[in-house]
Amino acid sequence: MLREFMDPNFFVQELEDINRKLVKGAEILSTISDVEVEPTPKELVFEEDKMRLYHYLPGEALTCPTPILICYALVNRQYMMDLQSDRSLIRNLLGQGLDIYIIDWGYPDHGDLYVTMEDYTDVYLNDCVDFVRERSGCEKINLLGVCQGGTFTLIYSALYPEKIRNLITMVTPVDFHTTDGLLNVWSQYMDIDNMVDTMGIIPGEFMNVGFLMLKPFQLMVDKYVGLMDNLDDPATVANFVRMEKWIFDSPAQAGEAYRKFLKDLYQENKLVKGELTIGDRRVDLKRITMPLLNIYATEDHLVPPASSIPINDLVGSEDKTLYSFPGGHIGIYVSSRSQKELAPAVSQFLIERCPEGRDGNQVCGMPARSLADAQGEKMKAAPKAAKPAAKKAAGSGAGKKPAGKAKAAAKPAKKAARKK
Amino acid sequence: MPEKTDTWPDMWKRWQETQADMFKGWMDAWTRVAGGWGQGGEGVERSVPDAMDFYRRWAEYVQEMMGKFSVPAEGIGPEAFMRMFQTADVYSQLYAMWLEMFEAYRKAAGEGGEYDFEAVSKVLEKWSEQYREIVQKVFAPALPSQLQWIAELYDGEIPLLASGLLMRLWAPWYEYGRRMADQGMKMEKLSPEAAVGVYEGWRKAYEESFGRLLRAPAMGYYREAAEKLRYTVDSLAEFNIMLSEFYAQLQAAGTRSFQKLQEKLAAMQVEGKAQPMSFRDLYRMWWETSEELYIELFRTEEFSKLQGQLVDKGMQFRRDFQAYVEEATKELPFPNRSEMDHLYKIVDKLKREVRTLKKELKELRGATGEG
Repeated sequence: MLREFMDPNFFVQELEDINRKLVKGAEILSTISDVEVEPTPKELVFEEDKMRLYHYLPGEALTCPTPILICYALVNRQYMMDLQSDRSLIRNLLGQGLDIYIIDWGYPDHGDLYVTMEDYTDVYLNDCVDFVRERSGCEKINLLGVCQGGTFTLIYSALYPEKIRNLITMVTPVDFHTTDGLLNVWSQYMDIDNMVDTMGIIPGEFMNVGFLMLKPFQLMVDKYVGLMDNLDDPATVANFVRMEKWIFDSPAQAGEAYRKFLKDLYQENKLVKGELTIGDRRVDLKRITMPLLNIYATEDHLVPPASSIPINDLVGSEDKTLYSFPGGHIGIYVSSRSQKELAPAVSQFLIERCPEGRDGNQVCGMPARSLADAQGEKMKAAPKAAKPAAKKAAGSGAGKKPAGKAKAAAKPAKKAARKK
Repeated sequence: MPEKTDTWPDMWKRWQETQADMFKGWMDAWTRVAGGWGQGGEGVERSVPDAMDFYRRWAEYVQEMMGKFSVPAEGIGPEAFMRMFQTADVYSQLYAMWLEMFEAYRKAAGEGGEYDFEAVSKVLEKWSEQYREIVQKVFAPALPSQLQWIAELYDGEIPLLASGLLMRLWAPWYEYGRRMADQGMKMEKLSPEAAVGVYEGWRKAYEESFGRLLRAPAMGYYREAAEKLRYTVDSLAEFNIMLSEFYAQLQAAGTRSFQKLQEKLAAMQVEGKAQPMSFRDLYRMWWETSEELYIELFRTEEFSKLQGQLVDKGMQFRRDFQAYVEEATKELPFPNRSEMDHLYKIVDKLKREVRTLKKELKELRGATGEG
C-alpha cells in the first residue's frame, strides 16, 4: 500500500517538497548558461590533422621525469579525466608529481572517412609518442590508455615496445568475445560494412543510442528523477549538467577505423587470437614486455571485467599488476573513492619503476638539464593555460606541427637530445 | 388501307397521362428512397433499384415519343435521340453496376464483422465480367467506327488483368486482416508475443503487395528520380515495419516487467512484508524490475538479431534517400555527398603522399647532415 494513500499529510508534504525543489531547480537551471570542463591548465604542443596533443603544466615537483602520455578512446572526449577541479584524475596525478601529456582526437567529419586504425596507431599515436620522447629527451615514455584508447596502447606497445617504459591500461577491452557486456553481444549481429558504407562516419548520436540502451531505465529515467532530489542544490545541478555535457559530447567515428575495430576486434577477436594486423605487421601481445598496470572496474557495463582481466595473461611482461577498482566505467574517474585511491596507485606504480628515481637530477639520462630547469622552461613556454579544447578542430592539413607556443619548450629538449 | 395513326389530341392526352403517371411514380420512388436512407438497411436496397427502373422506363418512353415527333434526317431525329439515350444508359448501367458491387462488397467485407475472402474474390471476378459486358454492349456501339479499337481493348484482357492486379495487391491484406481478426477473437488480453506476430503479418502483406509495386521499374522522362523516390518510400516502409517489431519487443518486456512487479508486491503481501511504502520506493522497485527484464531481453539472440536487422533497414533507407536527394538535386549549384566523398578520397590520398614524402625528405636530410 502506498504510504501517500494511507497518510494524506505525508502526501501533501511530499507534493510540497517536490514543488519547492522544482521551483528552485528551475531558478538554478536558468542561471546556468554553460558549465566549464577540463579546468586544469594545459598547453597545445603538437597537432596533426584533427588530432591535438596537450601538455599539462607540471605541478610543484616532478616525482618521475619520464612523462606519461594519455591515449583516450575515440568515443567521447578525453576531458572525462579532468571533468572538474574536484573530480579530476589529471589534477590528482599532477599532484602526485607526474608530467602528463594527453591526446585529443578531435571531432572526425566526412573529411576523415578514410582515416584507418593504422593512422590512429602508426601515425597519430606514434607521432605523439615521438614528439613527447623528443621533447622530454626520454628514449622511452610511459603510456596510459583508456578504454578503446587502452586497446590502441596495447597494439602500439606490441608494435613499438622500444619506445614505452611502462604501460597502464584502464578499463581496456581486449577479449571482445565475452558475453558479459551487451555491446559484445550486439556487435555480433551488426553488419558493420553496411553501416560504414552507408554512413561513412558513424555519428556520435547513433553510438549514444546504443550506450543508453545498456541501462535504459537508469540512464534515461532514473538519472533525471534522481536529479529532482537535489534540484535545489546549485553545486549538484552544475555537476549533473557537466556530466550530461560530457555524455552527449560525442565525436563521430572515422568510418574505416570503426570498420576495422568492430570487425577485427569485436566480431573476430583477432587481438586475443594473435591475428590482428596493423598495416602489414601482425600484433603480438607477447611483445609487450614492459611493466604493466591493468586497471579495471568491477561494475563496468561498457567494458566488463571479463574483457579487461585477460590482458595480464596475454602480454609478455613479467612485471604486471592487476588493479581492481570497485565502481563503474565512469565512476573510476569521477567517484570520490577514485579521487582518493586511483591517482596514488598509478603514481606509485610509475615512481617505483622510474629509472631516475624521485630525486634524480637528470631528465631521462640527459645531464644538461635538471628537473627544475625543465619545469621552469615549460612554465615559461606556456604562461597561459589552454582553454578547454575547442569543438571546432583544426582543418585536415597534411602537416604535423608543434603548436606555436610549445616551440620554445620543445627546442631545448631537442638540443639536449642531440647532446646525448 | 393506310395504317391508322394517332391524332394530335390523342397523342396530347397520352402525353399528359404519361406525365402524370411518371410524376406519381417518381414521387413514390423518391419517397421510398428518402425513407430508406432515413431508416438505413434494406430500405435503401429496395428503393434505389425502384428509382433506377423508373428512370429507365421514363427514358424509353421519351425516346419513343421524341423519335416520332422528330424530322427523319441523317444525323438528327430518331437516331440522334437514340444516341443521347444510349449515352445516358451508360451512366445508368455503370451506376447499377457500382451499386451492386458496393452492396456485394459490403456483404463480403463487413458482414458479421469479418472479411470473407472468397466472397470478395467473387465480387472482383463478377465486376470484371460486368465491366467487359458494359464495354461491349454500351460503350462500343456509341463509339465511331474509327475508335472501335478502344472498346476492343477494354473489352479484352484488361479488366481481367486489372482485377487480377487488384486481387494480388489486396489479397495479402485481406488474408492479413482475416488472420488478425481470428487472433483478436482468441486473445483474451493483450499479448506482446501476439503483437510481434501482428507486425510479422503486416510485413508479409506489405512485401507481397505494395512492396512489389514500389520495386517495379519506373518509366518516362523522370524515371531515375521517380524510381529512387519509390525505393526510398519502400525502404522507409520496410524500416517502419521493423521498427514496429522492435517496439513490440520492448513493449513485451514492459508488460512482463509490470507483471513481475505485481508478483513482487503480491509476494510481499503474502509474506507479511507489505509495509506502507512511499511512491518513491514503489517507483524504485518499478524501474529496477523493468531494467532487469529489459536487460534480460537485450541479452537474447532474438533481440540482438532484430536490432541488427533494424539497423540494416535503417541503412537501406538512408542509402535510398541519399540516392534520391542526389538525383533530385543534381542540377542545383552545390556538390552532393558522393561528389564530396570522391574529393575527400583524393585529399586523403594526397595527404598520405605528402606524409611519405616528408618522411623520406627528413631521412635524406638526416643522412646528409642537413637541417
